[in-house]
Amino acid sequence: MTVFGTELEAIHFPLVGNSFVVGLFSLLHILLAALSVGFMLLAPFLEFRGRTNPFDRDLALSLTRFTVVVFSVSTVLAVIMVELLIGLFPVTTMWMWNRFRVPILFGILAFILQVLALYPYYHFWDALRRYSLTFHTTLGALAAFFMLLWVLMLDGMGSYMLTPVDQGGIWAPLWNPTWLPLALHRMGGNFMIAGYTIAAYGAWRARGAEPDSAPSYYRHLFGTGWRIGLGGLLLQPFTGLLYALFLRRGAPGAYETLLHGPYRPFLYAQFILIGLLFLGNYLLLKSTRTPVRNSQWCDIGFPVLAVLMVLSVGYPDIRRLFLYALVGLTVWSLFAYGRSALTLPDLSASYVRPLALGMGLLAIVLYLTMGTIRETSRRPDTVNGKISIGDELRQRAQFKEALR
Amino acid sequence: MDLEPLHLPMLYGRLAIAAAALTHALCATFIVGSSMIGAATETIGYLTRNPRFERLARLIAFTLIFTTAGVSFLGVTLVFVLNIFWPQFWSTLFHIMFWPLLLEASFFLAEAVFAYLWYYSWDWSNERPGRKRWHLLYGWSAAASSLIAMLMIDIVASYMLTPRPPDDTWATLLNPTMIYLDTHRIVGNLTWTGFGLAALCAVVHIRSRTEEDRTFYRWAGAVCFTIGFGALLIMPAIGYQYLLKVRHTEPQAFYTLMLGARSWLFDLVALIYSLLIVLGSVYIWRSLRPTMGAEGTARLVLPASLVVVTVAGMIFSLPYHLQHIPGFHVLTDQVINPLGKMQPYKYFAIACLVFFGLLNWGYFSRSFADRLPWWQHAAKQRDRWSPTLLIALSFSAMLMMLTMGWSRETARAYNGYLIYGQITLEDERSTYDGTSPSSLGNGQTGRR
Repeated sequence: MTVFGTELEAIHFPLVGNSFVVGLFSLLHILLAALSVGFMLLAPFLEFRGRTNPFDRDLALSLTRFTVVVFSVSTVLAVIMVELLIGLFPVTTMWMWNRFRVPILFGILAFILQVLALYPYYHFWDALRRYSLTFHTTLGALAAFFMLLWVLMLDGMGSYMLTPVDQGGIWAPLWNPTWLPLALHRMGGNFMIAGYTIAAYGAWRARGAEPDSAPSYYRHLFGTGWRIGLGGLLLQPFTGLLYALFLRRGAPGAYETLLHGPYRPFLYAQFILIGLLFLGNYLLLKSTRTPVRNSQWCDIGFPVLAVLMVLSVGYPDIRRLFLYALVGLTVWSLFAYGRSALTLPDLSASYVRPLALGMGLLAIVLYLTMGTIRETSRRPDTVNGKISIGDELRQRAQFKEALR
Repeated sequence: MDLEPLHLPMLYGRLAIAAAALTHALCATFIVGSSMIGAATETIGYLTRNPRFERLARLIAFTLIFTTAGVSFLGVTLVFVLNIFWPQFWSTLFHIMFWPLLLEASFFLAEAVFAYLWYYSWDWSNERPGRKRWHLLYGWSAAASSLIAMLMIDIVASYMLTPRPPDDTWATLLNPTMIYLDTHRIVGNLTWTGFGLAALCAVVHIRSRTEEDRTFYRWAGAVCFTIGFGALLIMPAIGYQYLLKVRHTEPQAFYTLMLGARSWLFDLVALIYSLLIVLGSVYIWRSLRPTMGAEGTARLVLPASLVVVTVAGMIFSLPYHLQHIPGFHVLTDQVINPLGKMQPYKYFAIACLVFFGLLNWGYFSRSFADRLPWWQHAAKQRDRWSPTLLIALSFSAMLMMLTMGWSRETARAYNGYLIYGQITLEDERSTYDGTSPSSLGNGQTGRR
């Protein structure tokens, strides 16, 4: 038997550093996972609507195909992320997994059930629909439900790192103050990026496919995606407020860091993106060329409110005032331009397609920025008030000492 | 930073990890094998302009997509249970093996990307002739990525049995058994995947409704069987070299497996190996029998060869230390079975198994070139025994893969080690009952 007396050097990821590489793979995973969650929640609903509209049925199949195709890639990105966490932040990772062991095992069970529902749902699409339409739609809804359970468990881990709780049983870490607000906020975000991505794809593919006057599948995609994305966007300020209130109560230090700390530029970036999205929606509505009285007020109101919202980022109460004014103006313009603007969108204006593509991109960047802000607000802690990056460094030193 | 004790028997953790690791390994090895066989099959189809190979390659690509999704989920599960049940060991091993583990996951990511690209661009590639070469490249890229991912994980697996000083990177990566384990696994993957794909073709053959489909799946099953059976015949030579290396590097582990308390596991491997050769020879004989001419040598050689491999298989499976077989003490008090000695009986038996197996394989491979091949023969149309044999072979191959993996792990674990000579199972006890300080900052290496 060989006996080694060896020192181990601490692992430092070359060129970019430990935090950056973990963040990069986390964001890559989150991007695919968020789209998959949004698509999978929409698929059975669209399939149900597909009983009367074949475009919705085809869209449901396309969304499920995307989910199935990116499933492995997204899961492997998660494995890489976890491996980086174990190697580069071992104290945090082991401690978190120890605390969440029961929810994780429960999540694995939900994951298995999700795979068992998702794969027949997609791969035997026609055969199962021929057998029973209700059974097939139910299978899709079950896949979405089990995916949701898994997402809720991960939201629990993410929120716990910012607002940890000490007391309670094995499920207590999940029931931390910001769990449900974060889950709600993320759910709205999932719908938002799923919607705008569908709209962007529809606008891109509709190019030259059919004359703009005729209904086409890709125009339908554009309209449906836009409605879903806009719905998600309009919900975000309310779920965001709920999250902010619980965060301020649960982790006041992190909340202050978020507003006035060194990573404040991220917050500015977030509100610039939100402002641009509201502005983009208004431009899409205008492209319908529906005559609207007093529309010049909207032409001025949207950019002015967006700029004022960005300027008041450091003053949450004033900022919210402008944000809700933007929400109100959007709702008013929706009524003013009428239902047809959303249900049968006009793609003839030259700027509509690039705008739709840009909004898809904006929505994705916004979603990722929001996640980054949450992560940076607790720095230098990895688990707020419990473990810091310093603990990770000390751990490495002790680790080395123990091996000497 | 203290960890909460799990308050569970350690056995639960071992069972959870074993279940996750074995199912993950089964899928992962299937991916490596099927991506290689699939890419090769499509290339042969492209070069020979034979549409049957193209159809088989597409079927293999479909199974690859399914197993890739499965293995990515099982991989996540394995990482989860290791983190929860063996955190001290896992964080130490990860510290030593950070780069191989990270590269393994990265190459698996590449495999997933190329495999999906390969499968979903099939129709696109057939639209224009120039696209087919790109398509072949996707298939081979998926195969190469999965192979490299396996090489990375083999570094970790072999290190756990024959570790070197962790500060010597090259010695750690190229530890004494690394190359041997790699070679053994590559051939083992082809065996298991070959038989697994043959069984899949057999199932579809049984369920086929048209004559054309039945003929195709009978042919496809035979092609996959040829790969699996051929690779099976190479395994003893590589396995012998691998065991020699273990014997020289960690003699205690070798003794545990060959003569010690876990020698019954090696007897089980020998039994399943013999069963594979015998069942494979039966399949060959049954397949070729209807088309054997009165003047051909196969009519005489194949039945005789079948008898020889059956007898050789029985000898090869005989145990030496009878009392090491669980529950055997109820039947006899005898300790040693002299016929179960390696030298000369088992060496002679394995030589017979390989030689006569090779003879059968040669006859079977040659039959593909016949003017009226057996798989197109009318008498085969309603044969249900041959597909059943393929399914039995696949099941046995799967069992052998699991037993071999278990044997390697138990050679360490029976002696109490998670990393041989460095970290013991007892080092994880505090994770379960919290009797000794379970602190991540407390030197969890358990150095002896």
